[in-house]
Amino acid sequence: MDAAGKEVLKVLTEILERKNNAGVYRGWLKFWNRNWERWLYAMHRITGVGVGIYLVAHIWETSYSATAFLDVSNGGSPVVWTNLMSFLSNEFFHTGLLLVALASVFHALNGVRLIFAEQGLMIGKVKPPTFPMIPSSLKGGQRYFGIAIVIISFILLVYAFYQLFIIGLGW
Amino acid sequence: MRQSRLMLLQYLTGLGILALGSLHFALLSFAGGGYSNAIQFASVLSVYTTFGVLFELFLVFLTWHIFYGFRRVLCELHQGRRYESTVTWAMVIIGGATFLWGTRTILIFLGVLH
Repeated sequence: MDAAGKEVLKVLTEILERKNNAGVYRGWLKFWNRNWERWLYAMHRITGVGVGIYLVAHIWETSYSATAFLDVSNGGSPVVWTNLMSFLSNEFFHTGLLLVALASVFHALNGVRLIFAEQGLMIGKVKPPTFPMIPSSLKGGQRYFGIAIVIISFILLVYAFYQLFIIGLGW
Repeated sequence: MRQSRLMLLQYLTGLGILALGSLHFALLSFAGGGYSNAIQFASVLSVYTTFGVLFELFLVFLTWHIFYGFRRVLCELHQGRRYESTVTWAMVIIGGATFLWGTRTILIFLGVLH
């Protein structure tokens, strides 16, 4: 390999080994002034981390409630269960559940969109780049799918509100 | 295991969560006779004894998906062989403990643990 080739290889190696120093704030959280898909990407991360943290809390909560079901062949302890449910049945915890429902539905539907995108489905026809250099992958079904996901998430949020607040809390 | 295989598992567990999570939400709402009825002692016991195995499968999918997701997010924030290894093992240990703790709950509901 000649000197020029070695120089090219050196530059390429440096690029490949470059670290991601953007971090949370300047990296994946900075979605304003970017396109719709970038916004969906940031929301996917935020909802994923949020629901993940909720799962750990939910497992702790259910492990506590499970004590009501010890010795269930002799009837268990319905009082322990009822007391826990009474403690959790209020506006504060139900608002939390509402946010978890919204985050879960959005994350799940957007996950399906990402699987489709990875498989090359609904990403628009590949074309040579021409002015104004908008990638064809950002047109077509993917864009509409992304919009539909947000609309469906908020429709299901209304249903979750009905279940948690109207039926659950008797508003 | 190759990263592409791990990512494939992430997609498959995601689809599994979509199916079982829909069942979980349905059982807590319309299929359970409304939220108030679904969280009654007898209703919860009935659901767990009927769908206990599916809940265990749900827990497997969730633990993998969430802790592999955490690993990916953390590995994007900072790079380095030692850092990546530390994050991987931390996720394996915390994820494993979460899975075992959740399994204990399901076994109590199923009457296997007294």
